[in-house]
Amino acid sequence: MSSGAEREDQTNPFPLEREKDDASPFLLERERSTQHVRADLDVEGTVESEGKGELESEGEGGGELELDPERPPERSTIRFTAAARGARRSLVVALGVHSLALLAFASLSLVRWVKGLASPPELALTVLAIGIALVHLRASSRLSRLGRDEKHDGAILASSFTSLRAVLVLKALVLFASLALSCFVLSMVVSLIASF
Amino acid sequence: MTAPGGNTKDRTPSDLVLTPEQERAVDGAARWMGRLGRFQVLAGGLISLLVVVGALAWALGQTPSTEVESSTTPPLVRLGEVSTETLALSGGIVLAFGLLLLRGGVLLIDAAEDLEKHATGRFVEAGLGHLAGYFVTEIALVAVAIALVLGLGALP
Repeated sequence: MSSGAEREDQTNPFPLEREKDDASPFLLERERSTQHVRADLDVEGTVESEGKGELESEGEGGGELELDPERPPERSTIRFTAAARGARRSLVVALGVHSLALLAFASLSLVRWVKGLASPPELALTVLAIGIALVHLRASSRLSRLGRDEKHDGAILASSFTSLRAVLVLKALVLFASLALSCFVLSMVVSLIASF
Repeated sequence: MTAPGGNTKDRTPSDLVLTPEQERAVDGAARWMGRLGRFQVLAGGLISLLVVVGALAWALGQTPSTEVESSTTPPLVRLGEVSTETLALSGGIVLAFGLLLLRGGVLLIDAAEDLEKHATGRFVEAGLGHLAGYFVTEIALVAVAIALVLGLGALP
């Protein structure tokens, strides 16, 4: 080996297997980028298997984005501490009790409907309450499984939050509609009083 | 840390690994928590303010009632006759509803801020705790609704 190659071997902790004779400008640039990525992976402590997979695919195909040394890692990690487990447990209980309360409210409204006392908006609210209670029960049961199967913890957390997001969107719409309706009724009452 | 080959045996048990799609799902939920929370704060504050202003106006406009003699005894129709107790009870229920809505909104905003992706990571335990608090206030709201339905005569 030449003296330059020996110096490169001493400074480079990841010697490349590629032949040194093949030193076109593009390949030299790619080599530098690859070394940079490898060094970053080593410093940041990212999973070794992921780093290897990326570099192998980069060597075969050569995408320009894959050579970006500032690209963030593909997976992120959330610390799920004992405090988080306790908070998760209280959330599961709160969701369960909330669902039961909603079902109780819905059953009372259904009793009113059977007796012919409930109005159509109240019936719509009852159907909505039943739907929200079912989604909450589903999210609660999923969250209760969090921490048991480590392989699927991320998927469980994501699906629970997807269910909760659906309910939040629905609640926002209902709240907006009821507030608009209240403002409309209030303005009608005020105009009625003013007309006297 | 995950061992090469995806083996989870060596990973710390208290770590949740999220793919970009799963991360987006959590972020989306956090965003909607923030939106609904702000809206609840607005609605709850407005309701509470209306009740307080209404109560003040009613108290200031209270004048000694002057008896008007009716030509018929007893009078055929009585307009606007609401007892003070009924009015106070209704105002109290609406005020409680507004304050609970406000409190739930604040908790929801806190949960959203904790669960959103920061440079320092997600404060998942604080976020889940605030979310649990939000659902507890929602339980109280549903209890108020149940009380109203019972008051309206759901049961025989």
